[in-house]
Amino acid sequence: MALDAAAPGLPDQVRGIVAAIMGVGPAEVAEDASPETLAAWDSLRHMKLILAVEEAFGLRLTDSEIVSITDLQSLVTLVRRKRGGGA
Amino acid sequence: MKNPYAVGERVYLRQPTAEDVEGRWHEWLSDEETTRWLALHHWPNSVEAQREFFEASRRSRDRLVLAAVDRETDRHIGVCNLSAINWVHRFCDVAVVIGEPEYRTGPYVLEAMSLLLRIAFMRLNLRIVKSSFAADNDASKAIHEIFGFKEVGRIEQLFWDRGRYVDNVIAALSRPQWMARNDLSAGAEQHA
Repeated sequence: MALDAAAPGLPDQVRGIVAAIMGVGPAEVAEDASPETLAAWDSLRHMKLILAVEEAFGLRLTDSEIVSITDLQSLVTLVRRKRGGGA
Repeated sequence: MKNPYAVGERVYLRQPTAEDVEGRWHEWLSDEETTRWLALHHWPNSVEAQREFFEASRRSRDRLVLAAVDRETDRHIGVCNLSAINWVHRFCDVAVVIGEPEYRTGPYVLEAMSLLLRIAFMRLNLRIVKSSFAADNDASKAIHEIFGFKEVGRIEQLFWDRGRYVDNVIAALSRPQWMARNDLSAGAEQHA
Protein backbone atom coordinates (compact mmCIF):
# COMPACT_ATOMS: atom_id res chain seq x y z
CA MET A 1 0.00 0.00 0.00
CA ALA A 2 1.35 3.43 -0.97
CA LEU A 3 2.18 5.93 1.77
CA ASP A 4 0.02 9.07 2.07
CA ALA A 5 2.16 11.95 0.85
CA ALA A 6 -0.46 14.53 1.90
CA ALA A 7 -0.16 13.47 5.51
CA PRO A 8 1.51 15.95 7.85
CA GLY A 9 4.26 13.45 8.58
CA LEU A 10 5.50 13.30 5.00
CA PRO A 11 9.03 14.55 5.79
CA ASP A 12 9.34 11.90 8.48
CA GLN A 13 8.07 9.23 6.11
CA VAL A 14 10.66 10.20 3.51
CA ARG A 15 13.34 10.47 6.18
CA GLY A 16 12.46 6.94 7.28
CA ILE A 17 12.96 5.65 3.75
CA VAL A 18 16.28 7.50 3.47
CA ALA A 19 17.42 5.98 6.78
CA ALA A 20 16.41 2.48 5.71
CA ILE A 21 18.19 2.72 2.36
CA MET A 22 21.32 4.31 3.85
CA GLY A 23 21.40 1.76 6.66
CA VAL A 24 21.40 4.38 9.43
CA GLY A 25 18.98 5.35 12.18
CA PRO A 26 16.35 8.04 11.41
CA ALA A 27 17.99 10.34 13.93
CA GLU A 28 21.14 10.33 11.80
CA VAL A 29 19.23 11.73 8.83
CA ALA A 30 19.24 15.48 9.39
CA GLU A 31 16.89 17.89 7.62
CA ASP A 32 19.76 18.91 5.35
CA ALA A 33 20.83 15.32 4.63
CA SER A 34 22.52 14.89 1.26
CA PRO A 35 25.36 12.89 -0.33
CA GLU A 36 27.68 15.60 1.01
CA THR A 37 26.54 15.29 4.64
CA LEU A 38 25.74 11.58 4.94
CA ALA A 39 28.69 9.30 4.26
CA ALA A 40 26.50 6.31 3.40
CA TRP A 41 24.69 8.26 0.64
CA ASP A 42 26.63 6.94 -2.35
CA SER A 43 25.61 6.60 -5.97
CA LEU A 44 24.12 3.12 -5.61
CA ARG A 45 22.09 4.03 -2.54
CA HIS A 46 20.98 7.24 -4.26
CA MET A 47 19.47 5.13 -7.05
CA LYS A 48 17.95 2.63 -4.64
CA LEU A 49 16.42 5.55 -2.75
CA ILE A 50 14.69 6.81 -5.88
CA LEU A 51 13.25 3.35 -6.57
CA ALA A 52 12.14 2.94 -2.95
CA VAL A 53 10.36 6.30 -2.92
CA GLU A 54 8.61 5.55 -6.21
CA GLU A 55 7.37 2.28 -4.79
CA ALA A 56 6.45 3.60 -1.35
CA PHE A 57 4.37 6.50 -2.68
CA GLY A 58 3.15 4.87 -5.88
CA LEU A 59 4.93 7.46 -8.04
CA ARG A 60 6.36 7.42 -11.56
CA LEU A 61 9.05 10.03 -11.97
CA THR A 62 10.09 11.71 -15.20
CA ASP A 63 13.75 12.00 -16.19
CA SER A 64 13.91 15.65 -15.12
CA GLU A 65 12.34 14.81 -11.76
CA ILE A 66 14.83 11.97 -11.27
CA VAL A 67 17.82 14.26 -11.80
CA SER A 68 16.29 16.99 -9.60
CA ILE A 69 16.72 14.79 -6.52
CA THR A 70 19.90 15.95 -4.81
CA ASP A 71 19.11 15.73 -1.09
CA LEU A 72 16.37 15.02 1.45
CA GLN A 73 14.67 18.38 1.00
CA SER A 74 14.42 18.11 -2.79
CA LEU A 75 13.02 14.61 -2.36
CA VAL A 76 10.34 15.72 0.13
CA THR A 77 9.38 18.65 -2.09
CA LEU A 78 9.12 16.41 -5.15
CA VAL A 79 7.01 13.76 -3.42
CA ARG A 80 4.68 16.42 -2.02
CA ARG A 81 4.24 18.05 -5.43
CA LYS A 82 3.69 14.73 -7.22
CA ARG A 83 1.00 13.78 -4.73
CA GLY A 84 -0.73 17.14 -5.15
CA GLY A 85 0.37 18.55 -1.83
CA GLY A 86 1.85 21.77 -3.24
CA ALA A 87 5.42 22.99 -2.93
CA MET B 1 31.22 25.04 -21.38
CA LYS B 2 33.12 24.08 -24.50
CA ASN B 3 31.20 22.90 -27.54
CA PRO B 4 28.20 21.55 -25.58
CA TYR B 5 26.04 19.00 -27.39
CA ALA B 6 23.55 18.33 -24.57
CA VAL B 7 23.34 20.28 -21.35
CA GLY B 8 22.01 19.28 -17.94
CA GLU B 9 22.05 20.96 -14.54
CA ARG B 10 25.42 19.55 -13.48
CA VAL B 11 26.72 17.68 -16.49
CA TYR B 12 27.04 18.46 -20.15
CA LEU B 13 27.95 16.16 -23.02
CA ARG B 14 30.26 17.18 -25.84
CA GLN B 15 32.38 15.64 -28.53
CA PRO B 16 35.60 14.24 -27.03
CA THR B 17 38.79 16.10 -27.85
CA ALA B 18 42.42 15.15 -28.32
CA GLU B 19 43.04 16.72 -24.90
CA ASP B 20 40.61 14.23 -23.35
CA VAL B 21 42.59 11.39 -24.90
CA GLU B 22 45.81 12.68 -23.37
CA GLY B 23 44.09 13.00 -19.97
CA ARG B 24 42.80 10.27 -17.68
CA TRP B 25 40.27 8.68 -20.07
CA HIS B 26 42.53 5.73 -20.92
CA GLU B 27 43.31 5.17 -17.24
CA TRP B 28 39.62 4.75 -16.36
CA LEU B 29 39.50 1.81 -18.76
CA SER B 30 42.43 0.12 -17.08
CA ASP B 31 41.09 0.56 -13.55
CA GLU B 32 39.89 -2.72 -12.03
CA GLU B 33 36.83 -1.27 -10.27
CA THR B 34 35.73 0.85 -13.21
CA THR B 35 35.99 -2.05 -15.65
CA ARG B 36 34.73 -4.77 -13.30
CA TRP B 37 31.35 -5.01 -14.99
CA LEU B 38 32.34 -4.04 -18.52
CA ALA B 39 32.25 -6.82 -21.10
CA LEU B 40 35.47 -5.50 -22.64
CA HIS B 41 38.49 -3.70 -21.24
CA HIS B 42 40.00 -6.50 -19.20
CA TRP B 43 43.30 -5.91 -20.98
CA PRO B 44 45.35 -2.90 -19.85
CA ASN B 45 44.36 0.21 -21.78
CA SER B 46 46.88 2.74 -23.09
CA VAL B 47 46.87 6.27 -24.38
CA GLU B 48 47.78 4.86 -27.83
CA ALA B 49 44.78 2.54 -27.82
CA GLN B 50 42.58 5.39 -26.63
CA ARG B 51 43.88 7.56 -29.47
CA GLU B 52 42.94 4.86 -32.00
CA PHE B 53 39.45 4.54 -30.51
CA PHE B 54 39.03 8.31 -30.53
CA GLU B 55 40.02 8.60 -34.20
CA ALA B 56 37.80 5.67 -35.22
CA SER B 57 34.78 6.87 -33.24
CA ARG B 58 35.13 10.42 -34.58
CA ARG B 59 34.62 9.11 -38.12
CA SER B 60 31.92 6.59 -37.18
CA ARG B 61 28.23 7.11 -37.82
CA ASP B 62 27.20 3.91 -36.07
CA ARG B 63 28.69 4.98 -32.76
CA LEU B 64 28.20 8.24 -30.89
CA VAL B 65 30.84 8.80 -28.22
CA LEU B 66 30.42 11.82 -25.96
CA ALA B 67 32.51 13.16 -23.12
CA ALA B 68 30.62 13.76 -19.87
CA VAL B 69 31.84 17.02 -18.35
CA ASP B 70 31.18 18.62 -14.96
CA ARG B 71 29.63 22.03 -15.70
CA GLU B 72 31.08 23.67 -12.61
CA THR B 73 34.71 22.79 -13.23
CA ASP B 74 34.65 21.88 -16.94
CA ARG B 75 36.38 18.66 -15.93
CA HIS B 76 36.08 15.56 -18.12
CA ILE B 77 34.53 13.02 -15.72
CA GLY B 78 33.26 10.19 -17.89
CA VAL B 79 32.23 8.86 -21.25
CA CYS B 80 28.82 8.16 -22.77
CA ASN B 81 28.20 5.88 -25.68
CA LEU B 82 25.42 5.09 -28.12
CA SER B 83 26.93 2.18 -30.03
CA ALA B 84 25.93 -0.35 -32.67
CA ILE B 85 23.47 2.21 -34.04
CA ASN B 86 21.33 0.53 -36.67
CA TRP B 87 19.92 3.19 -38.99
CA VAL B 88 17.54 0.77 -40.75
CA HIS B 89 15.84 -0.69 -37.69
CA ARG B 90 16.69 2.38 -35.61
CA PHE B 91 18.06 0.84 -32.43
CA CYS B 92 21.31 1.15 -30.50
CA ASP B 93 23.13 0.09 -27.35
CA VAL B 94 23.75 2.50 -24.49
CA ALA B 95 26.55 2.82 -21.95
CA VAL B 96 27.64 5.43 -19.41
CA VAL B 97 30.93 5.28 -17.52
CA ILE B 98 31.75 7.85 -14.86
CA GLY B 99 35.49 7.48 -14.59
CA GLU B 100 36.36 10.00 -11.90
CA PRO B 101 35.55 8.37 -8.53
CA GLU B 102 34.43 11.54 -6.75
CA TYR B 103 31.67 12.02 -9.32
CA ARG B 104 30.22 8.56 -8.76
CA THR B 105 28.26 9.80 -5.75
CA GLY B 106 25.05 11.67 -6.32
CA PRO B 107 23.18 12.29 -9.52
CA TYR B 108 25.91 12.68 -12.16
CA VAL B 109 25.42 9.26 -13.75
CA LEU B 110 21.64 9.73 -13.72
CA GLU B 111 21.91 13.06 -15.49
CA ALA B 112 24.33 11.68 -18.08
CA MET B 113 21.96 8.77 -18.81
CA SER B 114 18.99 11.14 -19.00
CA LEU B 115 20.77 13.33 -21.55
CA LEU B 116 21.86 10.32 -23.56
CA LEU B 117 18.34 8.86 -23.78
CA ARG B 118 16.98 12.22 -24.93
CA ILE B 119 19.65 12.33 -27.65
CA ALA B 120 18.82 8.79 -28.78
CA PHE B 121 15.07 9.24 -28.98
CA MET B 122 14.62 12.92 -29.83
CA ARG B 123 17.70 13.95 -31.81
CA LEU B 124 18.74 10.76 -33.55
CA ASN B 125 15.19 9.45 -33.98
CA LEU B 126 16.05 6.02 -32.66
CA ARG B 127 13.21 3.69 -31.61
CA ILE B 128 14.77 1.30 -29.15
CA VAL B 129 17.72 1.65 -26.81
CA LYS B 130 19.17 -1.68 -25.70
CA SER B 131 21.55 -2.51 -22.94
CA SER B 132 23.04 -5.48 -21.19
CA PHE B 133 24.62 -5.84 -17.80
CA ALA B 134 25.72 -8.44 -15.29
CA ALA B 135 22.86 -9.53 -13.05
CA ASP B 136 24.98 -8.94 -9.94
CA ASN B 137 25.79 -5.35 -10.93
CA ASP B 138 23.41 -3.58 -8.55
CA ALA B 139 24.19 -0.11 -9.88
CA SER B 140 23.41 -1.04 -13.49
CA LYS B 141 20.28 -2.88 -12.42
CA ALA B 142 19.07 0.18 -10.49
CA ILE B 143 19.79 2.76 -13.20
CA HIS B 144 18.01 0.72 -15.87
CA GLU B 145 15.01 0.26 -13.59
CA ILE B 146 14.90 3.98 -12.78
CA PHE B 147 14.78 4.92 -16.46
CA GLY B 148 12.14 2.34 -17.27
CA PHE B 149 14.15 -0.32 -19.10
CA LYS B 150 12.47 -3.72 -19.15
CA GLU B 151 14.34 -7.00 -18.91
CA VAL B 152 13.75 -8.76 -22.22
CA GLY B 153 16.15 -11.64 -21.90
CA ARG B 154 18.92 -13.23 -19.95
CA ILE B 155 21.95 -15.31 -20.84
CA GLU B 156 22.81 -17.53 -17.93
CA GLN B 157 26.35 -17.44 -16.56
CA LEU B 158 27.84 -15.35 -19.38
CA PHE B 159 30.16 -13.07 -17.38
CA TRP B 160 33.15 -14.12 -15.29
CA ASP B 161 33.35 -12.08 -12.10
CA ARG B 162 35.89 -12.71 -9.38
CA GLY B 163 35.70 -16.46 -9.25
CA ARG B 164 32.24 -17.22 -10.60
CA TYR B 165 30.04 -16.81 -13.64
CA VAL B 166 27.04 -14.48 -13.45
CA ASP B 167 24.01 -14.00 -15.70
CA ASN B 168 23.86 -11.32 -18.39
CA VAL B 169 20.62 -9.32 -18.34
CA ILE B 170 19.41 -7.89 -21.65
CA ALA B 171 17.20 -4.82 -21.24
CA ALA B 172 15.43 -2.49 -23.65
CA LEU B 173 13.58 0.81 -23.61
CA SER B 174 11.39 1.90 -26.51
CA ARG B 175 10.66 5.47 -27.47
CA PRO B 176 6.91 5.12 -26.68
CA GLN B 177 7.79 3.80 -23.23
CA TRP B 178 10.26 6.64 -22.67
CA MET B 179 7.80 9.28 -23.89
CA ALA B 180 4.96 7.92 -21.75
CA ARG B 181 7.13 7.94 -18.66
CA ASN B 182 8.12 11.53 -19.37
CA ASP B 183 4.55 12.64 -20.08
CA LEU B 184 5.40 13.50 -23.67
CA SER B 185 3.03 13.03 -26.57
CA ALA B 186 4.21 11.96 -30.03
CA GLY B 187 5.92 14.85 -31.76
CA ALA B 188 6.29 16.83 -28.56
CA GLU B 189 9.17 19.27 -28.58
CA GLN B 190 9.11 20.10 -24.90
CA HIS B 191 11.89 18.90 -22.68
CA ALA B 192 11.27 15.92 -20.42
